[in-house]
Amino acid sequence: MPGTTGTVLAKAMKLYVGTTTPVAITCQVDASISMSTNMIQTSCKDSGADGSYLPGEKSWTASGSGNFAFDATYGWSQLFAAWKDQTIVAVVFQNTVVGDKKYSGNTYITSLSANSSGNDEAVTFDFELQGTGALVEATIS
Amino acid sequence: MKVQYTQDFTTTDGFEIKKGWTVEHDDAVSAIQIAAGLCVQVDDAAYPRRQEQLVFECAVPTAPTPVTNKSTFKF
Repeated sequence: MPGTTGTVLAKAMKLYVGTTTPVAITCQVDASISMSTNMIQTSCKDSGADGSYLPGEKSWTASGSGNFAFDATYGWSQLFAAWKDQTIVAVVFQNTVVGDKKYSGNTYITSLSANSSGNDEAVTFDFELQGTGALVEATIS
Repeated sequence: MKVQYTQDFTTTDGFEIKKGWTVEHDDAVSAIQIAAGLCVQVDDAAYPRRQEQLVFECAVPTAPTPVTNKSTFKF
């Protein structure tokens, strides 16, 4: 499969919610995923001057922001319900180009905020999702 | 690809989509939903909202009912 040649543009790279029929979070402005590994320090009194580490637990998060609309197909209200009920939110981070990669996994909402700043701005919302279990890479087909 | 549903549909995750809603799926999923007759493609600039919008459907023509000529008019 060909996939994107060169730099991938941000316009189409979004967060979708769901497993078999994912729905894009409406009117996203920013979307991101982040992965990290907890490093276990293994240096001791017998070690030399250089610290030594072993990789421990892996974790990942997803986050984003969007413009606030009560009638959005999947927006603030749906994220609020998932936060309130503490339900799992399956997410996919992807564009729509066949052959490119997509990243999916289950999350819980750890942070959700609505922002009405200033007098001449759109109301926006921000969310942060804590991944639970593996973040899986697959090819868009 | 953005689509507009022409009938109610519930995803396997329990997300309920009502007839008339505009939804954005990825292209492959949208194509499957369109092929299943659940929705139609809409413009990429359409705003995905939970608002029933006009969905135009073709009315199935019915055959005219034959009427027996009971006219008694005579020239």
